[in-house]
Amino acid sequence: MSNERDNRGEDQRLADTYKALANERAPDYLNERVLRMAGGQRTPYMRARAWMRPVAWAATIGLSLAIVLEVTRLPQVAPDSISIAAPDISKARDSRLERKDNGAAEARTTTPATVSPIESATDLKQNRAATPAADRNERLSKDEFVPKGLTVLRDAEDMARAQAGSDQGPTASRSDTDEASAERPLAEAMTPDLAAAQPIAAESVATDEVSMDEPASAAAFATMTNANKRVSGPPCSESVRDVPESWIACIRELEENGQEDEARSEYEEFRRVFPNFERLDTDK
Amino acid sequence: MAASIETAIKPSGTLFSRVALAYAPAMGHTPDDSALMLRYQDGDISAFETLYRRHNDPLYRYLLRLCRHRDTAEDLFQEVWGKIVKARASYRPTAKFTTFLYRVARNCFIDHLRRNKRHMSGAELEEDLQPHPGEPLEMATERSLAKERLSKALMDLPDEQRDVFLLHEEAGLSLDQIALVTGSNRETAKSRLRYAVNKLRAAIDERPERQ
Repeated sequence: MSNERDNRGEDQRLADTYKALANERAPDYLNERVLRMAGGQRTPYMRARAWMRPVAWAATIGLSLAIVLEVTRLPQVAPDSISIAAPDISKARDSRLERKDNGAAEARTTTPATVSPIESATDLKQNRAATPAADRNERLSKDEFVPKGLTVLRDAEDMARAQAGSDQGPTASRSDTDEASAERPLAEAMTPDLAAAQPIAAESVATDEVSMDEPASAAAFATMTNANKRVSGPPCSESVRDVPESWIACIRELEENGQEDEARSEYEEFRRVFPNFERLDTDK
Repeated sequence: MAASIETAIKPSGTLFSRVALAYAPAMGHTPDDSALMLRYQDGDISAFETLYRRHNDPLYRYLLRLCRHRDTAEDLFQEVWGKIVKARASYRPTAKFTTFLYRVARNCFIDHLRRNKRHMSGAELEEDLQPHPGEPLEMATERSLAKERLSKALMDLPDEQRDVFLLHEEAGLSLDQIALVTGSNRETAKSRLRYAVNKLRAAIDERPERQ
């Protein structure tokens, strides 16, 4: 015990002696140098720290407000933006509806005992031109797959049309649209046949005349293909034209294939050649 | 010094992790080294100044006794603080700051030894053995002789024992912390320290025994 106390006392004496010996201090120039080094080596973050936080907060708040304002304004802006985009949407819908109508017309032409092919096509167009809006609305209401938002689009479209055309009424514009779109499926139906029937030279002429890169409408393409067909010759050959019955059969075939214009022109030609030919019951 | 401490213990602007440290001065506590280092990490230069004033002299003496050469010690002193400054971004208060500081210092010294193996010169350090003013002549002479013998015995100690003794006396590290700094286990550190103390005590007591 006393040995331990002696050791402790000796250790204390050693420590005191060492403290008395080791009284050096770091030189002032070293202190200055180190402190200057510590103060000088400030990172860019440390330098920017004084103003970075307020700016960051302000930017965050500003951005949040902008997002909130944008979100709250969005529903009010929506109808206007829809009305601007309405014509294209309506065209797309019209073409889709006309495609359906065309299918129905084809289905009707498959029963030739009751309706003449040419008359049926003409009547179909007239009916479409007469009641476009009511007919379309009726069809849309029957369509199960029409999304609910489409009614909003339809209303916006009607509003846009009412605002746009004081000189051209909505009925007239719709009838024009319907006519154009009525030709569209015809052209689409004709395209594969033309590709098989027309010579390659005729196709190259067509591609020279019209640039296919442009969003050319189907109606313009149909006109072009009709012109090409006229250049390539009559749809019914001369041998067929010699016999009235075979010519009528050819016309009916054209009608069934959806080539209504060709069928009509052939029928007019047929009437010019055979003015006194009596219609068969099936031609009525 | 007092002014720098006052400025150093001002609460920093950091919001979350340093809240407890920021309230420490108000509770009458002096911020510890790790807190000061963290504040310096956040850009508080005055915190570093406080930290530096706390450790500069002991570290200087440690390096001086370890190197036994004043210019080398000063170079190493700057190098050590430079490393501390550079390492502030990655500093994590996982251990006591003193342990971290002296570990860096010791590594710098070892690097210096490796770099200058061929050019190692002998001891150059001259101790200040002047007696304190006003001290009785007899006592002053005895103290001066004791200091001289201690200085010589310290220089004669093996490097490992001198290192452990200096870490214990200058840095005030415990045996566990010394073991951490030197990379040895506790028993080794304890043994080295005991050998060093015994030799130094013997050196101090050498003169009375002879008389």
